[in-house]
Amino acid sequence: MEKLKRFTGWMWASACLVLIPAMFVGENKLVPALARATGIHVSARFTGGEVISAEECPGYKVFIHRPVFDGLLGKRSTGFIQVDFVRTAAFPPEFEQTVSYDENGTHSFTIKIKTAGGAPRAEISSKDSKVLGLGMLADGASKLMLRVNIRR
Amino acid sequence: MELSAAKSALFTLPMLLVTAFMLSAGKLPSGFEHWLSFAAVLAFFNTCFFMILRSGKTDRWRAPVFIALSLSFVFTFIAHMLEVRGTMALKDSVMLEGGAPFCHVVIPQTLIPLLVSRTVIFPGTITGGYAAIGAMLFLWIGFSLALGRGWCGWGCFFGGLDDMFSRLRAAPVINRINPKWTDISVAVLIVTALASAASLSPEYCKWLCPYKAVTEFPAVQNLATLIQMLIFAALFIALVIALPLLTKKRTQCGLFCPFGAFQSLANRVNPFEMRVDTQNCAKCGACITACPVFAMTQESLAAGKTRLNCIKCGKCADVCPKQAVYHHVKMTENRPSLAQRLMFLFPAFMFLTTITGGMLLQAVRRIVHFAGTGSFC
Ligand code: SF4
Ligand code: SF4
Repeated sequence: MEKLKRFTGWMWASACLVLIPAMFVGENKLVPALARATGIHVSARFTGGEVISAEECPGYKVFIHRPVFDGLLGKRSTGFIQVDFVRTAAFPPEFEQTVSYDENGTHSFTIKIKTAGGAPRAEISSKDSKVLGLGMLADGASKLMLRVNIRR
Repeated sequence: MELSAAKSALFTLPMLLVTAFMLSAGKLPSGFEHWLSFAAVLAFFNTCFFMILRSGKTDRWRAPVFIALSLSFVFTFIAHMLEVRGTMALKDSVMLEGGAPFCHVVIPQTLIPLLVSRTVIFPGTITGGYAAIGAMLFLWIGFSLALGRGWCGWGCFFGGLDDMFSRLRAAPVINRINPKWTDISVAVLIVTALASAASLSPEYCKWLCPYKAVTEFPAVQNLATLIQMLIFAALFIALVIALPLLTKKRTQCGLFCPFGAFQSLANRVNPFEMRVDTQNCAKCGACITACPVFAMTQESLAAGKTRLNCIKCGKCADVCPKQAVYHHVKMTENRPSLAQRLMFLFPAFMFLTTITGGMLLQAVRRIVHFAGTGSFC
């Protein structure tokens, strides 16, 4: 019994000796495979969630993401909708986009963006009481990303 | 456990081959700068490993590589951020585009949402890009199974900073710190893990990580981000510089880091530990005084073990006048042996040099380039 225990200990330690170099060698192939197999993904609170519609406009493309209410166990009462404006040429000095985020179009808001004279600015207007206002405006290398806070 | 020069050289040979292969990525370096940095880093790694064996002092020769890991990490990280983003500040746009590099300290904060819904609450990417989430999780799982909380002595690219400051003074100014203070890190772990799960955002990273001060931090846009910056700077000065200088302990790692507290659990699932031969022990307490993370106490010494938070640095074994402290492979014979020591040293040093290699090469190359041209790039 004592011998078997010792043997197990040495085998365990030897496995670790192999594991460390194997990990570095296999990393490039194994990590994508494991990510696919386990289905882990970045939370929609960071990615903005899946894109549900896209539209082409002169100078830019608009991508509207799904409303994100994701909580740990269920849905939260407040969330946001992310809208990306991706540059295809130069942005117009001023432009507008109306976003309806339910199937029958009852919930909607309009984004007005001004790009002329310094950093881009955005204004949100809506008659819908579920639209809470601008949450974030971020100017990336190739796109403007905007989050509008909403209530369920 | 000193070895003859011939035996030390013999056991260094496999490490020399592994590190040469890893540093060169299987191709010979091209150009003077590449050759010089390759030769310097290879010589540095293998001299340290040779000296670990020759002198029998693990921590004394581990520390230079571990500190080099942290310094080269900070240097190359800042250089990368300045080149790619033009600033160390993390802008909202970078976060929304998933461009934040993932680090192991985030892991305990992400675990609850990961287990509940397979989502990672971090603005990075799962695969591809700089410091992707998947690669870090993969390395962490592998390392934890192999070496447990040895991560904090042999793998963490932050730990070398408080380790370095804890070594600068010959004697401590503050001598007595109750090991119970290590419970603070457990409290930080529990509170930040729960808060992160509730907010679905990594709260320790947002508010409490001292290392933000030397890596990346949110662009100061309002009062909240200004407060965050002040907290990062204050914690860095207090926990990574001042207290290690005054106590000669790794206070950030021993008392505050939630990842360290969490990683202690991994000490249960790997085969290596430190043991004390209680028959041979002189009860002088040198190991208790030397331990940088409060893992050796009177009680643990009497039981012939360390506490669960041992980082396997080997400092206690280095200072023991009776050579009563030793690396042990669980389930095997309870006495010091070369085989047990080598069995631990090979994977631990291999991991340390593999993590350090690329960053140290790049740092040395940039410094050589700077010496020749006056520019880092
Ligand atoms: S305690 Fe934390 S900071 Fe320290 S070495 Fe471990 S992981 Fe790194
Ligand atoms: S008990 Fe020894 S090996 Fe463990 S952390 Fe303390 S000094 Fe390092």
